[in-house]
Amino acid sequence: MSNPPGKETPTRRTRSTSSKTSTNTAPVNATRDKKTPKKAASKTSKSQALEKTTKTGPKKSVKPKAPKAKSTSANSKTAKPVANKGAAAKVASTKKRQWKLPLLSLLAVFTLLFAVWMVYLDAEVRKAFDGKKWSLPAKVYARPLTLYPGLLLPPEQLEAELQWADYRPAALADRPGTYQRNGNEWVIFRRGFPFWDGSEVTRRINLKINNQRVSGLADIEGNQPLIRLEPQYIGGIFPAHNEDRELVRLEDVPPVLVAALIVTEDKHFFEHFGVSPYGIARAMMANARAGKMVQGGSTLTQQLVKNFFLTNERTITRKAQEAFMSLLLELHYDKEEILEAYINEIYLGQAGRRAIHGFGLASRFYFGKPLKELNSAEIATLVGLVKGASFYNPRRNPERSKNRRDLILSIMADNQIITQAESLRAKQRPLITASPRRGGQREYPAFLELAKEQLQKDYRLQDLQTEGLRIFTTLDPWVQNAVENSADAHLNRLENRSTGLKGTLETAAVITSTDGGEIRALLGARDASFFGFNRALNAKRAIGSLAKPAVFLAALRSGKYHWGSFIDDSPVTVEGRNGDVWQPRNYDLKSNGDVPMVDALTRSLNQATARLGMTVGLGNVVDEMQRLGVSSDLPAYPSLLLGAVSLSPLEVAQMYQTIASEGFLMPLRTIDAVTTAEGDMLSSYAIRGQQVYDPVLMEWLRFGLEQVVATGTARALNSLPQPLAGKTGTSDDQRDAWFAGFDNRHLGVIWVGQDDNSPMPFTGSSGALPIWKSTLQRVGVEPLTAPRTLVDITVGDDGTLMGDHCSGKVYPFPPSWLDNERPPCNSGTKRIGEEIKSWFDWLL
Amino acid sequence: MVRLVVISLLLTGLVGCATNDGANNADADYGQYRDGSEHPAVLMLFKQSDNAVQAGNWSAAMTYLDQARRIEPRNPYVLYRQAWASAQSGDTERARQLLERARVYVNKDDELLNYRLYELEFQINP
Repeated sequence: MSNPPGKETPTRRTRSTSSKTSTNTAPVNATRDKKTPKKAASKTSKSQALEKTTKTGPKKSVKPKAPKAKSTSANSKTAKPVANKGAAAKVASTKKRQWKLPLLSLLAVFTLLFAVWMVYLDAEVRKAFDGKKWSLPAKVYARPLTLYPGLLLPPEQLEAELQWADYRPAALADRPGTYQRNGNEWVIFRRGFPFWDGSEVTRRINLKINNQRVSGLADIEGNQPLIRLEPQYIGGIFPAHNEDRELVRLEDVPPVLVAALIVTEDKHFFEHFGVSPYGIARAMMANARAGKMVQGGSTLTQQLVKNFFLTNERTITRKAQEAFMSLLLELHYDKEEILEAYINEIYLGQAGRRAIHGFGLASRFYFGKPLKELNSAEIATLVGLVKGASFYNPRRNPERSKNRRDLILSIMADNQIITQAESLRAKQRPLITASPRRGGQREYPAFLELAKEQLQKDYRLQDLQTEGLRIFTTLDPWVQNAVENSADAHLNRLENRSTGLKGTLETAAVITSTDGGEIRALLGARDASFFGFNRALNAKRAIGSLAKPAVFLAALRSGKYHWGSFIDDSPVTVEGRNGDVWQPRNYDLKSNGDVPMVDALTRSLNQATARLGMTVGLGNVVDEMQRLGVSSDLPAYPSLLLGAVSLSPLEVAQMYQTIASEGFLMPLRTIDAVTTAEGDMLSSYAIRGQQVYDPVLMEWLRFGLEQVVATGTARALNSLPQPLAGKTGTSDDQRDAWFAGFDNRHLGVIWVGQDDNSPMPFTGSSGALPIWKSTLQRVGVEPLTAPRTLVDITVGDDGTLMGDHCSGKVYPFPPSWLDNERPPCNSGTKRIGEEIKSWFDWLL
Repeated sequence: MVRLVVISLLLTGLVGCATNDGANNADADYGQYRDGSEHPAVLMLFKQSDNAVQAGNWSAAMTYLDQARRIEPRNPYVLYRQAWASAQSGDTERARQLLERARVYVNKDDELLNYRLYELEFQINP
C-alpha cells in the first residue's frame, strides 16, 4: 500500500470539482483539520453518553434527577408515588417519543442529503470518466529530417538529430529507435510515426554519406528516393496547470510494469471494490506500531480518485468523499479501465513548467524511449516514483531512487514477476537516465511563442490546449542549435573583451529558408530556454544601416542610377520643417568625395546614402521599405534613410526575405501542418506570397549586397564560399549591432544589444556578424547561384555607360539597359546634380 | 511537326480542363506532361501528389508538392504544379501567386511549360 505522506501531486491543478479547495487555502484547512478528529471524538462521546442516559431513563425514574424546571410536578409525584408511577412512565414514553421524532426526522433528512450527495458524486464520477478524461495539450514537433540523395547532411548533424530524437547507438541496429554507424555507412532503425500526410511504419534504413552529402539511401526493398525520420518533439501548448502526458493503452503497457505497480501499490487491486478494509487495517497497525504515519491504506482506485477528482487536502470529509467515489467508480467501470486511467493520470515528475503525468510520458522523459522498450530496472525506477516523484527523482536523488528501485525489484522477484536472477542482474545496473536537456525534452520558448501566435489565427487557444492536436512546424533543430551555440559563444567573447559588459549583452536571431520563408530557428534571448521577453518578436530597436538597401533599391528602380553611378560623399546638411538641422557623418568621420554607388553601400557611407536618399525622395524610400514587407509605421524623416527607425528582428527578417527570395513577399511562417490527435489532417500551410518586385531588380540589388560581403563592411565573411549577400547595421552611439545576410538556403538576421539601450564598444561587423558566420559554418554554407538575368556593361570613370570595347569597370545591369544609348569611348555624360540645402527642395 | 503534335495534345487537355471537374483534370493533365525534374525524391513526391489528386485530396497534394519545393525551391515545374493544384482546389489567389512565381524561374525556351502557364492563367482568369 502507498504511503500518503510521501505521495506528491503537482502543485497546480485546475480540474476542479465543486468539492475542491484551492491550494492557497490548504494550509488553513490543514491547521483546522488537526483539530477535527478531537472535536469529532468529543462529539461522539457526548452523544454516546446521551444515548446511555436515554436508554436507562425508565429505571432511573425511581430516583429521578429531575430538572429543576419540573420541580412542581415532581413534588406532586412524591405525594402520590403509586398513582404517579403510570404517569411517570407516560411522561418517559412521551419524552422518548419526543426524542425519537426529531431523531428520525434528522435521520431522514441526513439520509436524503446523503442520497442527494451520492447522486451528485455519481454524476461527477461518470461525467469525468465517461468522456474525454484529460485535457491534452497540443504536441509541437520540429520539421522531420527528410533524407534524399544529394542532401547536404554533415555526419555530426545526423548523429545529433538521431540522439535528439532519442535514438540510441548500438552495435547492431536491430530494433526501432537504434542506429549503428560504420564509417560513412549508417543503419537507422526508424520508429513508426504518424506524419501529417499519413502514418509510416518502422523501417530499417541504410544510408551513405560522402562529402557531407547523402550518396545512398535504401531499405529492405532496395534504393529509395526519399525517407523521413520522425520529427523531434519541441514543446507543447499547455493548459494553465501545465499538465502533460502521453496517453497509453493498457495493452501497450508492459505486463511487468502493471504487475510491479499492483504488487507495490495495491496488492489486492483485483479483489477489492474500491476500498480495502484489509489494507486500511494493515496500514493502521503499521502506523500504530511506528507511532507515526508510515503507511497509507489507499487503494489504486482511491489514489486515482484523489488525483483525478479531488485535491491533496487531508480531511475526513475529503477522505469520505474519496472512499465513496472509489466505490462508485468500481461500480461503473471495470478494473482494466481504472488501471489504464491510473497509469495515465499519476504524477511522475516535473520538467520546468511542465508536469509529467502518466507512465507513457515519464518513460520518454526519464529514459528517452517508449514504455514498451523499458527494461525491468527502468520499470522499477518508474514504479518507485509513484510514492514520491520528487523525493525519488532519479536525477536529483539518485541514491534514494536506486534504493527504492532495488526494493521494488526485490518485491517483483518475491512475487514471481521476474526471476531472482533477473532481479539481481537489474540491481547491478547503474541508474542511467537520459539527459533532461537533450533535444527531445527541452523546449524552444521563442519559437513556440510565435508558432502559438500564428496558430491562433486559425485555432482557438482552448482547442490548442485541450484537444491533443499535433502541430508540425518548420523549426530545424540543427539550425536552432547552431545559432544558440554561436550566439552564446560570441557574446561571452565580447563580454570578456570589454570591461563592464559581463552579463549585460542580449541577443535575438531569426533564421529562415531563403526561398520559402519558413522559420528555421528563432532566438528570443541569450538564454534560449527562457520563457519571457521574446526579443526576436518584441524588441523594437533602431536598425541603423540595415535600412540602406531600401535607399539603393529606390535609386535603382528610378532608372536613373546604376551601381557605377557616382554619388557625392561630402558632408550633407538637411534642414527640417521646424528648423532642425540634420547632418549625418560617416562612421570614420571622413568624407570621400565622389564614390561609385556600390562603394557607398559596401562601405556603408552615411553621407553619400543620405544624399542619394534625399535625391530619390524620402517617400520613395518609405515605399520601398513597405513593399519589402515592413508593416510598422515609417515616419518619413530624413534620418530614416540611415535607419533611425525601430523594428524587431522578425520585421527585419521579413524585409530581407523579400530581397533574398527575388521579390517574393511571403509571410514568415512557423507551421507546416496541423492534425488531430488521431492523425487526421486539419490544415496544411504550403507556400503563399506575392511577387512584389521584378526579380531582375532584386538580382541587381543583390549584386550590391554581395559586394558588401566581398569587399565591404561584411568582408569578414569572405573566407566562406562566395557569393554571399549581407548588410551590417549599427545604430547611433553603437547601441545596436545588426547583421542580415543570406546564402542559397538560409537567411539570417542577428541583433546584439543591451536591454537598457546602452552604447556598446562594437559595431554590426564585430558584434552581430560573427554569430551569423558561425551559424552558417555550423549548418553548412551554400553559395548563391549566379544571376540569371543580369548582363555586364562597362562603366567609365565618370559613371557613364560605355560601349562594349571601351575600358572601364564592368557592372551588372538589367538587360533593358542594353537598349540605352552608349556613347563612344571616353565621352562622358551629364552627372546627377547635388548640393540642395533643404529637404523640401528634394521633395519638390 | 513534333511541336505541333504536342501543342495539339495540350489543346485537347485545355478543352478537358474547361469541361471536367478537378479530379478528372488530373488524369488529363498529369498523364502527358514530363515532370521537369530528374530528382528521384521530387519525382516520388509528384507521384504521391498525383495519387492524392486522384483521391480528390487537394490538401495532401499540396503538402507533397510543398515538400518537393523544399528540395528544389526554384523548380518552375514544382511551382506550376502547386499553382495548378491551388486552382483546382478553388484557391485562385494562391494559384495566381504561384503562377507568378513559376514565371520567375521558367526558362524562356521551355515552350511546353510556358504554354502550360499560359493555359493555367487562362483557367484562373478566363
